[in-house]
Amino acid sequence: MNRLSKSPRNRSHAGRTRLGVAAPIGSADQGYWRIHLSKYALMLAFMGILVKLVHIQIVRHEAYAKLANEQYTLAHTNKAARGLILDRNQVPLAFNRRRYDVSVYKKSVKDAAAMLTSLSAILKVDIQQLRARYARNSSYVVLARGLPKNQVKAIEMQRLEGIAITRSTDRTYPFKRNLAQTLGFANVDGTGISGIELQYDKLLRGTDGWTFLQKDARGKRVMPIMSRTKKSRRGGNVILTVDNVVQSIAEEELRRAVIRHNAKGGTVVVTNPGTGEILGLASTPGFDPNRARRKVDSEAWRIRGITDIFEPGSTFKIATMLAALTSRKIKRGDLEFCENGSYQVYNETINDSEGHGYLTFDDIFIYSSNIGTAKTAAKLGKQQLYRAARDLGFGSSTGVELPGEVSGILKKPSEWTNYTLLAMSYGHEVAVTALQMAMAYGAIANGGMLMKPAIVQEILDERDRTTFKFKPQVVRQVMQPKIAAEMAEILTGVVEKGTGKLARIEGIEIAGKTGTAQKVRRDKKGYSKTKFVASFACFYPAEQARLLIYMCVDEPNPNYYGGTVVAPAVKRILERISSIPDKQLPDRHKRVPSSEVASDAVIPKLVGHDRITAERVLRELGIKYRISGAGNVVQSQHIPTLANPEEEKQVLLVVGSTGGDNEHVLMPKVTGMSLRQAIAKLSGSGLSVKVTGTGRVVGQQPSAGSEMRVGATCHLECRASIPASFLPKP
Amino acid sequence: MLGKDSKADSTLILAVALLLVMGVVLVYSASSFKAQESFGDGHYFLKNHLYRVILGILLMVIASQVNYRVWLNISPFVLGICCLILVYMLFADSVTAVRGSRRWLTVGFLTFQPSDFARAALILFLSLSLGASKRIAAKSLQSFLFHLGIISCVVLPIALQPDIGSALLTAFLALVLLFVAGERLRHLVMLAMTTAPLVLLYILREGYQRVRVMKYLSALRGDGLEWQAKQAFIALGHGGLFGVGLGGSRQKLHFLPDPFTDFIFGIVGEELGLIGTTAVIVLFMILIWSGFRIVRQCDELAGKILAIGLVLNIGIYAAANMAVVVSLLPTTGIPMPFLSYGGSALLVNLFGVGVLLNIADQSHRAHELRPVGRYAHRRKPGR
Repeated sequence: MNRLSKSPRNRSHAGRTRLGVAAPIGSADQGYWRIHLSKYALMLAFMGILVKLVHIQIVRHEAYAKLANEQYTLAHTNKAARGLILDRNQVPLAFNRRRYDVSVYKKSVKDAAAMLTSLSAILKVDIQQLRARYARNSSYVVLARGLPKNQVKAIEMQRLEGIAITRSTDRTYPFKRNLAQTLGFANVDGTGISGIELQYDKLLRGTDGWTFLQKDARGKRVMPIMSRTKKSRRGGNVILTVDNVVQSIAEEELRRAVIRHNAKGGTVVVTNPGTGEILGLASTPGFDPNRARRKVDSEAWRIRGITDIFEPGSTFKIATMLAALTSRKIKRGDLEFCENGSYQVYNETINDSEGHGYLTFDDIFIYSSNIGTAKTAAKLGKQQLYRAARDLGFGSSTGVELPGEVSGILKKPSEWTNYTLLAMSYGHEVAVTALQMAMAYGAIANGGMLMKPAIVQEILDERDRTTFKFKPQVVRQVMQPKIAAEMAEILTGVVEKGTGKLARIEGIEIAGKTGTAQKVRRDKKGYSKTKFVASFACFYPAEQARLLIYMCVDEPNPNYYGGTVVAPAVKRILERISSIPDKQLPDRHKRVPSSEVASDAVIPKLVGHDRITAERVLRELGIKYRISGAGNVVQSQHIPTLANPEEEKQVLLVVGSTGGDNEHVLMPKVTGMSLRQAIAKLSGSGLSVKVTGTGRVVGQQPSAGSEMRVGATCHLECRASIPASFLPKP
Repeated sequence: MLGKDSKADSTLILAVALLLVMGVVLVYSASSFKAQESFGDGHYFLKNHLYRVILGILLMVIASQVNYRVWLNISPFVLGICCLILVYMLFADSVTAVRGSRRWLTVGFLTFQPSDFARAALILFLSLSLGASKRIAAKSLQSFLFHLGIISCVVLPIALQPDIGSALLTAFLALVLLFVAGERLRHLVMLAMTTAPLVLLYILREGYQRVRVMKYLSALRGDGLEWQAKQAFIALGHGGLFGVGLGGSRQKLHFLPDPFTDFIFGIVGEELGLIGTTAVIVLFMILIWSGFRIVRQCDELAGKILAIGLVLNIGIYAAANMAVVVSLLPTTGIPMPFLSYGGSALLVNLFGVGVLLNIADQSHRAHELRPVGRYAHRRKPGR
């Protein structure tokens, strides 16, 4: 190096150029600055990068760490299973079925046409439809929703590229149109939209859980972060007071009456007047909640029994009757001139459907004379009638646990004209709901108590603890039991010999009242001459009534009388219900199934249902069954003891032409079972159980194989299964 | 291999070794997820990388034992062949375009980028040609134009592949060599003024490069970063000072593209934090420092230029790669020397280190001999 720098050429050229071009390499003079420059420039570049790194990694660390965590984690909701809605006998009216959705990641699909073709073959869906869905502008599209397991298995077998199968649940209403309005429905997201599903949405919905998942940039789940998971908890169950058999009978007869009389619609309420429990609540037009998601139809979704008000007509005369009997101004033997069917008063004409001369107080109601009722009311005065109507619950909502109830219209006496008193006495210028009507008749039937109607019998929370248990609730004592008995007696006459004759059943004392109300014209100018609401209320037995039915039919045509349109329908309901055994017996031991009904879940009590319904329910629940006998009504059901425990459980349904009294089951062998198993088995067979002791069943009475009446009680003897050596020695 | 006065050389070897070790560890960490996903073998890329590292070290040892003048002397032929291959690649059907670019050549089971070898050949040739005189002398216009022509023969085919990033870096490197070797500044300035607009025009004409540059410019204005740049920032920022720990990177889960090749520096930042990135920078600075020591020790002009070329080849690439990762430069496919998974660049760089060591060795011998010149005959066998 030194030698080079001392070169004479260096000096000779040094003055010639600023660049020091001639300077020898490595010397301290000008030639070396170029190398230095390149070296330090590079070093400077690294220092610059380091400064930038300090900025990113230290100064902005928090911000980028946050961004990072956001893109790594994916909160995934674990949807809770929706609770069940059951009838009073544990028949599931709404439950969840495991369903599957099929989606596709387009990026992983190589041959879309082939994939869609094989999918369309499996799903039996038009390929055009699949293509249209596939063509949606998204990298991830859902091709089919709500598929059953067998179809999904078929798809999985094909191993199609890019296909993702996700689980979903499908809310199912096995009885379709039955009780549809009351049950309401839940939408795809599991949110209650109407009816019980709406009213108890919070309970039924349960508590969703969540999982935080780590994911990669393609959204693929990499692994769950275990510490950050919350399990979902299924929703609670709602047990209704409704009896599904009663309900289906009521639905059927209502529909039959509406169709037969070309009516616009109708409503029927069946209650236990002693307790206020609603056993059936139906209206038409109806809908199938399984399909309700497709289109909004508030006409059909309404629970007409509580949302629709109408002028009740003669069924309202009980208010006049009550006012008269409590006032003691009028005696039951008093005669009233009924003007032979036409009565001019306050520039209005009151007509009877049939002309009458003098009628006793009883007969005015038995033959339903509007003129007689109006004249009676005129003697009583506005206050008396108003108080009676108000006490019977008209003009205020009943407080039933259903959404959308209205209170009807009962004007204050100060707003009444003189004619209002007369019109209201036979059920005009007042608007009621069907449920109000049923509860008012219930007060007569149960000896004077206005009950609060109940639709929910029991509520079980997510942990199966009972949080609500129905107890009959009295709103008020409306009348003395004596007056109630008198009114029931008059009403018995209506069915015995009066306008309600068509509801008469030989050998049973039925109390009832018909009603035929003119509808207010659309233009609100008076009443229509062609549009009527026909109704009939009845309870039986007349003393100590256990069943009350109120039915009204909207615009029957051409026949429009309550006595001829509704009374026969109600009679059929009565007949059919009374043939079902022990409807009003105390509830049997309950075992509520888990939210998802599996094949080993509880077997609903199907006795009394028609055969087709029973079969459908069992199929829906995936329970194997066998049918013996001929006929359309399930008479008994039992689970035969199987020789081979591996064999699948089967239900044996014995069918007959009527649900007669002679239904029997064979006592199964339950000794050796745990008490839980034994009770489940026996209640599945329709037997009641009495237990002594705890633990395992060691004895049963009667013995296995004996023939027993459905509903009969058997005795089980249990002993703790802890070995004797563990017990404290005496 | 090492002379007695070889502090710089051992530092150089240490820096390279540490970078290689870091590279192996990080390539494994960053690639195992992808390897498992694509090949069902988490070690797939690690194994391939290790083969290349071993092959590269072998090359380095060989190069350190062969007199560098041998390489200089054969460089015209090598450069000629490289240019031919580059031109051939532009037209051959057997070259498959990857992501729209014909950069890779497959021979048998080996895939490599001829541009890496061409660049090495260019450095060799320029060293030979510029270092023909014994000292830095003012170069004539003819010399300048001649070298410019040679450089174009390499740079233009690379640019046409298209691999603008590599082409620009190669051109830059070559021009720095011209500058260092004493080409007149006025020639260089004139060249810069005439070619810069042409280069800009060319870049802005091409689809994806235009998009990248535009995005880069808009990001500079603060309009939000493109995906890659943003993910690189997140990787670095997520790492913080100490990093999330080796193997702990989550950006490699498809978030950060090319996590074990062009963007491995991002993974360094995420897993080892600022400590790791600073370590890499320091290692490269040590490498450059010791490289320039070799330059200073070398008495021969060609050797000096060659050493500068080889050091810059590593240094400029490292700086450019980091600058891309921290968004100081627009995204372009430049691997990180010694760290990135990659075939030809790793081999060429290790070969270059070998040549550097040989240059150092030769200088040491010259220095050793000189002060004791009188006794030189004692060392020579047969005397």
